[in-house]
Amino acid sequence: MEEKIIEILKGINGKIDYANSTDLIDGEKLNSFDVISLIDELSDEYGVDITVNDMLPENFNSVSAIAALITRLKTRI
Amino acid sequence: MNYTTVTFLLFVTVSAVLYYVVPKKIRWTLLLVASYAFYLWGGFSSAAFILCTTLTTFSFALRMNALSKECSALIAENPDDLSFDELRALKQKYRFRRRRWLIALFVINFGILAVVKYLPAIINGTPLLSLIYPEDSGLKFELIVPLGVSFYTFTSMGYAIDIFREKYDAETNLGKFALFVSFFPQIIQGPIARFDHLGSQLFEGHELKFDNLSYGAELILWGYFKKLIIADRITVFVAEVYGHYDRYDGVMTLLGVLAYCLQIYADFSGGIDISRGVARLYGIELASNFKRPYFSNSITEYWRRWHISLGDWMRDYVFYSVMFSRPYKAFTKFCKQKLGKTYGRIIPSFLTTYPVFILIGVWHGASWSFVVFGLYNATVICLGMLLQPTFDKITAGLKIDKESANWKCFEVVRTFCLVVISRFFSRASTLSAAVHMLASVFDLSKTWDYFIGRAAISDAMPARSWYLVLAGTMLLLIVSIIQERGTDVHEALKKLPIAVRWTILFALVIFVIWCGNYNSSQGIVDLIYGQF
Repeated sequence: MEEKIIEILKGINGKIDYANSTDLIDGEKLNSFDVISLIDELSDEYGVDITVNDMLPENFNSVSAIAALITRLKTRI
Repeated sequence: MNYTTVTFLLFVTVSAVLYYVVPKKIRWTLLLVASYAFYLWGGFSSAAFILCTTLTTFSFALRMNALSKECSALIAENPDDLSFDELRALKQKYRFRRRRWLIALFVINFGILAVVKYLPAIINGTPLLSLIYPEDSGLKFELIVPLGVSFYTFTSMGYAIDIFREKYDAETNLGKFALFVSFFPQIIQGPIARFDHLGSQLFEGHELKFDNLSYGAELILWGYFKKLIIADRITVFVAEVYGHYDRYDGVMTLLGVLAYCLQIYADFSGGIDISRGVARLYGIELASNFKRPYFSNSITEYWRRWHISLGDWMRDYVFYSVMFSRPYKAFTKFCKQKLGKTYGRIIPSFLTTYPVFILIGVWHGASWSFVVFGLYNATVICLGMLLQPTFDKITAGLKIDKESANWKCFEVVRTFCLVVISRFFSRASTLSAAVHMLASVFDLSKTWDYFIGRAAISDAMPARSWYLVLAGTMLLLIVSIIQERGTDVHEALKKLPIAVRWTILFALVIFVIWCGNYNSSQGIVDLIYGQF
């Protein structure tokens, strides 16, 4: 899953080393517009429903955090 | 009670002493009493408004919270009896009921804000005025604008939306909630507080710590430096150029707008430093509202560094609300199908950018120039996104190293120029005045007249003020560069030998007392954002 997420992220902003980044939001590497695009792509790819309550920096700071969020959302009502 | 008065300093000192004298358990009540005393100092007439907002938000949030708990209890009671669809339907039913309370609260709180802030402008700008006063009377319709109404309304509504979204539980103590809404260091000009950041800090009785006192005093001193040495001195020149815009053109107009860029930054960030410093005296850390915005490399970044708490509020409660709505999602899908991946992603973001920036514009005041201010910023951001692929091709073709210092410097200057253009609109008295000023900048025929005799410049503001503003700006620039390079000035000062540290601080105290502007022709200069 993480490889696919990196591929999606590179399509949004190809200038970031996603594999080694743990501060994508806190370090302001991704802005709000990038996050909008990311959510859209993740929803399409994994069929998950990301809500406004999931919009926390810790859910998007790294590829592994994004993967963990998707895993959680797949089991959420 | 103005920040730049002895009364304010006495008020802060006495309340800080009392805060540490009373038992820890009731220290929050001392802050509540101080906050209401501060609020009522300006008059009793506007207190009804803040009380109304406090009571409605408190009670409606409790109701929304009770509905959330009722829903959770129902689910917990029947964990295996409900199907997936039934669970989803139950949650949606309760969400709908919570939303009704939120909408009612929205109407009440933003209704009050709209009436006191925008109704007079609407009536005075339309024939409605003639229904109230005779046409030739020259009278204007006016209402009392409660102190800090924009700030406490946004603070309260942010809390209510968080409760609606089930981010945290509602506060059950009315006194504590009233303190959160009215906490006096943030009531005049923010920052717009978040309950999950500020609430527990306010209610906890803090220990007396020397570092809190020294850091608080440093912030207050730095805030007074920005406000009294720079902002309150340059205000005379800014008022002259914007007030008599038809007398000036070319470089003089441009100088006036540049001076306003300096004034508004020094005034607003200086006021925020004072607010944060005062809060720090009680051990409370308010959100930082600025991050050296004039060093931004794009307008998007500028809005992440300027008035951060308003930008964050708009992002979390407007931007995300639009973004997660069904029509927005449907439009995004449609655009992707029709416009391809790149533009299909960019175009829908316009739908969120324009409402947010129009709101930011009108948040500042009820005038067309603020609407244009918002539209201008949204357009610059949207054009930036739209043209980014073209810019990338051009810079690649020209073999420009985007990581080089020269390019970064160019980006900062370019962004600053874009900000300067926006300031024509945010300060001019009317939209036509802003347009007139902007157009007149290109008339350079009187340039030599302005500068050879320096008559116009020294007439507008005394030479001593010019020298002090220049000296103050240089000091501000140096400190900002140090901070931009990642140095925490407070920590750096702490590492200095104590004699050096106290000499620096003492010199700054003397500089502010000796050179601050206390005798302006305009009297005490109010905080600019206090009027918003």
